[in-house]
Amino acid sequence: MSIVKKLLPIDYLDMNGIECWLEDLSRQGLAFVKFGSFFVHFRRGEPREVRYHAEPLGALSAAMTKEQAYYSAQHGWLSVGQFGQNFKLYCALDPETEDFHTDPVTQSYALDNLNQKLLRNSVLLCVCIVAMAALLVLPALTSNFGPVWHLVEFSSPT
Amino acid sequence: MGKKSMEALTETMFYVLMSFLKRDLCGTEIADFVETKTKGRVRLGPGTLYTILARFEEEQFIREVSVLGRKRTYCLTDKGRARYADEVSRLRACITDVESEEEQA
Repeated sequence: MSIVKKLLPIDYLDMNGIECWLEDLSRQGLAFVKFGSFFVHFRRGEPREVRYHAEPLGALSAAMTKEQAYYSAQHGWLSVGQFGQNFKLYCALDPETEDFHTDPVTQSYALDNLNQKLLRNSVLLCVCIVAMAALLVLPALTSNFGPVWHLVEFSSPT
Repeated sequence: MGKKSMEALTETMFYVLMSFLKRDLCGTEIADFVETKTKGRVRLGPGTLYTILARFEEEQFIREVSVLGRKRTYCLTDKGRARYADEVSRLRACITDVESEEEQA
């Protein structure tokens, strides 16, 4: 069994792009195995026409996610693992399998949770950046001599 | 950013609410009910079904009544029943409008 590792060539939040990329690789005989730290791992085999669906995580409880995976398998969508931290990946071996989502409004609810999670992370990142900047700047501003003294000290000939 | 409110139910959501009117159901039974009731016109994909159940539970339209292994059964709450009645009234008003428009034509 030969494993092929590939870098993700698209944004890791581009659901449609991820699905199309995996489907293209499947046509070239590369079946998705797992999403590693740096690379996406594939198993080389026969070219297959399959469909992938990336479902945002976080909209359902853990128990409901398990039940959904079981129900999905009965309807042709096999859970093939997690894609990054944000998506659970499903694969339909029959390209004619019914869509994973049959109501676009409902699908938007699933995306809402992901949207909120990303917004929270962005806010947290901004707070961290401001805190780090403050830690770097404040000691210089509040020292006895201040930043001007530092400039004089470092630019004076010894 | 707040969650979207469920001001209008989609057809799929409406049928899921309807499925609980007479008895408590689990996911598979809901899908079977909707398919039978609509003669296959309305389909419930796995993503749609469980997202609706999670959202209805959050909105307190339904609540979990039993867990048997992997099977979780839900029942309709009073709030869910009232929401269903509102939607039926809205749909009846739509039909009345259609009929009055057709009579005038």
